[in-house]
Parts: sequence; C-alpha cells; structure tokens
Amino acid sequence: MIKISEVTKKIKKISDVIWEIPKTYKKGMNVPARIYASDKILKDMDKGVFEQLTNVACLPGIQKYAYCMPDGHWGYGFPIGGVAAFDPEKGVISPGGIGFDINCGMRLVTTNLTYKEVKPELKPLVNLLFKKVPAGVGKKGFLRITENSLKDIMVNGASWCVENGYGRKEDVKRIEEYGCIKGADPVTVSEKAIKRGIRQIGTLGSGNHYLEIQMVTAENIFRPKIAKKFEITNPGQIVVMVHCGSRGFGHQIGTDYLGKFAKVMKEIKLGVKDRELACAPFKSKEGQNYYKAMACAANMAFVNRQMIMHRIRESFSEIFNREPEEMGLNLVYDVAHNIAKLEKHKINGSKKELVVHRKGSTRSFGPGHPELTEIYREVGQPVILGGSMETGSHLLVGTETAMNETFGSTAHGSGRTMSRTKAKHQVDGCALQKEMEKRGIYVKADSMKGLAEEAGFAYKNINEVVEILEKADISRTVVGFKPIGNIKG
Amino acid sequence: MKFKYLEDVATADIAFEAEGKNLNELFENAAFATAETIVDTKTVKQKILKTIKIEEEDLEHMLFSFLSEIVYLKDAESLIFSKFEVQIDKNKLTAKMFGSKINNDMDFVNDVKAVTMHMLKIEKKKKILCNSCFRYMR
Repeated sequence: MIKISEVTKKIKKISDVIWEIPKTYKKGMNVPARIYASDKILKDMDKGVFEQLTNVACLPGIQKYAYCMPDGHWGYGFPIGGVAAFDPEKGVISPGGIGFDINCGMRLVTTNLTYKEVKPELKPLVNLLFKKVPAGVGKKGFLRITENSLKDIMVNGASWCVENGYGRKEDVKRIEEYGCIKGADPVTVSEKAIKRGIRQIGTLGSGNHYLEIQMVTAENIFRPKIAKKFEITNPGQIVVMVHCGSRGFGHQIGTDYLGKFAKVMKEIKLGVKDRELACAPFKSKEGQNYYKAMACAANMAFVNRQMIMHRIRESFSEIFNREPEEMGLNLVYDVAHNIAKLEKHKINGSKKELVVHRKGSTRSFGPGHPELTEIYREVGQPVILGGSMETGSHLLVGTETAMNETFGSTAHGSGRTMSRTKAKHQVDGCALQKEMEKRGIYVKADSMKGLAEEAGFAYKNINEVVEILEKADISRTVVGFKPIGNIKG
Repeated sequence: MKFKYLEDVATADIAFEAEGKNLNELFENAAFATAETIVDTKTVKQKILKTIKIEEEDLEHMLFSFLSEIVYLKDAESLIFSKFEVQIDKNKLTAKMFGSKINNDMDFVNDVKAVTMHMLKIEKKKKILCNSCFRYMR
C-alpha cells in the first residue's frame, strides 16, 4: 500500500481544484493522473484512489490523463469516479473501468405537482411505488418476456419499450445515446446472464440504488433559464429520481468477461498492476466481444429505467386519479455513469475517436454538441448527480470546458466516504428510518441493515462536490433537490 | 464459521477474510461469508441440496468461480444457501450446498452483485489457510 506522504510529496497543484500526479511517480505510467478536488476533499480521499488511479495510468493506449472526479473513492481496479480514454487501435477496454453494474445510471422525471398537493398522499404514494417497483434480493419485475424479446431489448434498447406501450415517443430523445448503444450483439452474451436477468427488468436492486421523490425549493434554483429548459420552474415542484442499472444481467456479463480477460492477458503476456484491471486490446476478438456484450447490458439498463418510469407514471395516476400526462411526468434525461463508449474528442488539436471509460462518472457534453438531442443542444446536456437519501441531489449541465479537459466527463454523485461495514455498525436501520420520517423524509426499504449502510454520514457533502465541479467548470449546477420520499432495496 | 468483515477496505463494497484448517474448510467458510453478506443465514432453512462442480486452472480462480456461482444461483434459480460442504481435488471442486428457494421468512441484508478479484488472496499461515476477498455492492 502506498503511503499518503509519498503521494503528497509528488502531487502538483495545477489549480485550486486540479491536482496532478506526474508520470515519474510510478514505473510504467504512460500518462500523468489528475484529480479534481478541493484541499479538503483531496485530504479526505481514500488513499487507495491514488494507487488505483496511477495503475490506470499504466494501461496501454491511455490518452492525456487518468482522471478522478471529486466524488471519487476506492473501488476495485479503477477508482469510482474514474475516467480514462484509450486509443481504439493501440489501447484496451477494461471491465474494471466500467464496473460490474454496466450502465448504472440516473433518470430524472418532472411533474407539475407541488409539495402541497403531494404531501397528504406521500405515504400511500411511496407504499404503492414500493409495491410496483420491486427492490431487494430475489425480487422479480412485472414484465414477462421470452428470450427473443430480451434479445430485442439488448439490440434496440429503450425504443423497445415505446413500441410495446411502455413509454412516450419523446422519452427516447431524452436518454443518453437515445437509449441505444450501437454494436450490441446477443451472441456475445452467456446463457447464464440471460437466466439471471430475464425476470429482473423493472426492478431496482439494492445497495445505493433508489427511487426518490424530491422537491425543488426557491433557494435551490441556481440557473433559472436553464432550469426552465429542463421544465423546472416552480419552488415546491415535485420530481422523481431513479438510480439503478442492468441488474444481474450486467453483473453476470462483467463476471464472465473478467474470467475470460484473465486468460487472454496470460496468452498475450499483458501484465497489469492489479487483477481487477483485467483488460484486452480493444480491437482484439475478446475486446470486441466484451464491447458488444457491454452494449447489450447498457441497452437492458436503459430499458430497466424506462420500465421503472412507466411504473412511476402508473403509480402517480392511481394515487392522484388523473392521467399521467395531466401531471406532466416528463423525462428530463437519463444518463449512464458506468460505461465505455466510442466518442470523438480533441487530441492535440484534432478530433479522434476514443474508447472513453466512465466508472462512476457522467457524460457532460457542452452546448452545441452534435450528439446532443435538439431539445438541449443550445444549453448543454443535463447531468444528474445523486446524493445520499438524507441530503439531496443536483441537476447540472454539461460544459465546453469538460469537452476540452475531461473527455466530456464530470462526477456522478456525492461519493461514499465510509465503508458499508463501518456505517452499519454506527447506526440502526429502524432508528434511522424513524428519525428521517420526523425530518419529513418517508423511506421504505426491503432491508433495514441495507438502509443503515446508506446513512447520510457515509457520504461526502454533495454541495462540496458541486462547488468543485463549478470551480473547475466541468459542469454547472442548475437545480438542487430535497428528498421527501425514498424506496430502497 | 470463521470469517470476519473488513471495515476499512473498498468503500462501497463489502470485504471479508475467511480461514480454515484446510482448503475445503476455507472454501466452505468463504461461501458462508458470501451467504451472510446476502442474508441472515439463520433464517435460511436447509430444504434443498444443490451440487455444483467447478474446474479452474488455479485455486484463486476456483474460489472466484465458486463464490460467483452462489451469486448467480440467487438470481437465476432464486436459491439461497446456508450450509456448504466442499471437496477439492487438485483443480476440481465439488460443492454440496444446502438452502431454500427465496421466501418471506428470509431476513435479507444486501443483493450482492458480483464477486471481485480485488485483493483476492489465498495464503497458508501456520497450517491455517487464509483468504481475503471482496464482493462488489454498488
């Protein structure tokens, strides 16, 4: 394990919020590493981050820098909050740079309801959502599909939902990559992954995954013009945020390819600093197969969140006895924060296609980006930052600086600061639930031990994370949200 | 059962260290630790027996594949186990796993997503085998 003093001796301050670990720090680094953090956040960061980030900097074909966002913490292989882009010809693809939960991501839905209207119905609403969006171990989704339909989902993503009556046409325009990553091929997906995932569409999972009812307050509308573009206009307005991914389907694909890559690396004698950094040349057969399988899981995750939104619309309709459209219930955006994608970015002044890995990092495309939906092209891409269930979340917007500095990437949440095991020892889930209710946050959880692990004190302060993003200008906050109701696994 | 959770490793994940008098017992205890991460195993009745066989090049990959199988069966066949009997013969493993289909009597803790190889290690210490590995939760 690296001692923190060894890192701090060599770390260079580039600006108030950017720190650089030079190539000379560790043998084998192909590029320097850069961390976006304040003095305080850097000091508090898990020491494992420095070791893992500099290991990433050693991977073949990496471009410019290995980045860590301010919500970064110790993961496995890559740190969470890690961003790395690779040359598709000479570089690699690494499942450890994406995460087992492929296309874990965020979705934000607006309503035209106010806190005043929702408050009296909050408990029945949360209880109904808890029933309609299953969370926790072994829960199955309402959708019963054949293996062939699952293959359609893998290839076509969110548009499958709209074609089958689980969404509105305009929803698809408000999803990263229009809800479908190209190149997905079900042949590359194991029978095991299919068996694990086929009944899990429309389920939340557990851990830090959630569905949350949140409200806008006057002091939290930071950029009203852009907020209006995102359909957030009134203090007291109610929104719904969802955090989840590709469930057992994606997890199995991650597990399968971690094993396969270990064998490939042995064959081609590709050594890495950590087994969890298992990777394969992007253009190799195995690298391509993983990319195609990853795209299948990513598309399944877009569908999972779309089906959950469908259930949200149904639940609101049942509780308020109105058609969903009458309450708005429009999708603002859906972003992926565990993914690798082929994107064009500037390298030495000219545009180049790169394999951008984001693990606990959100795409943050600035205004005018051709790949952005027309609806938001003028203002930039919505970026959804999920906070802890006690403190709140933010909606931000992408910037040109992110395009120039971080391969169009920013943070993904507030980031954990305390381990799950430690958090569980510090608070009792039932007591936390009662205490939160007193503060006006009604939580329903499948597991009380799981709830304890998600206590607010186990996370960094989201406002500090947002402040760093603002100072670095890799995204700008538009609105902040306060939680009032939450369901978890 | 001999295992302990490690508090200060892998912030968003769960890590443990298990030990045993021999390889078979080590694998049994690591499997039990995995099950305990998912559920309070006291609430899992041993009504079903599932036997699995695994063949891997080395012991660490064998442990990874074995523990991954427990996670897989949770989702694919709704099976949760609370007792394990492992027999290792060179690069081959046979495990008898006792448990039940998921039901309302079970007190769940976490829906484990995957087993990682992060710091996965099998060590021989004074005739006691020791391993530490991590299950990824996020």
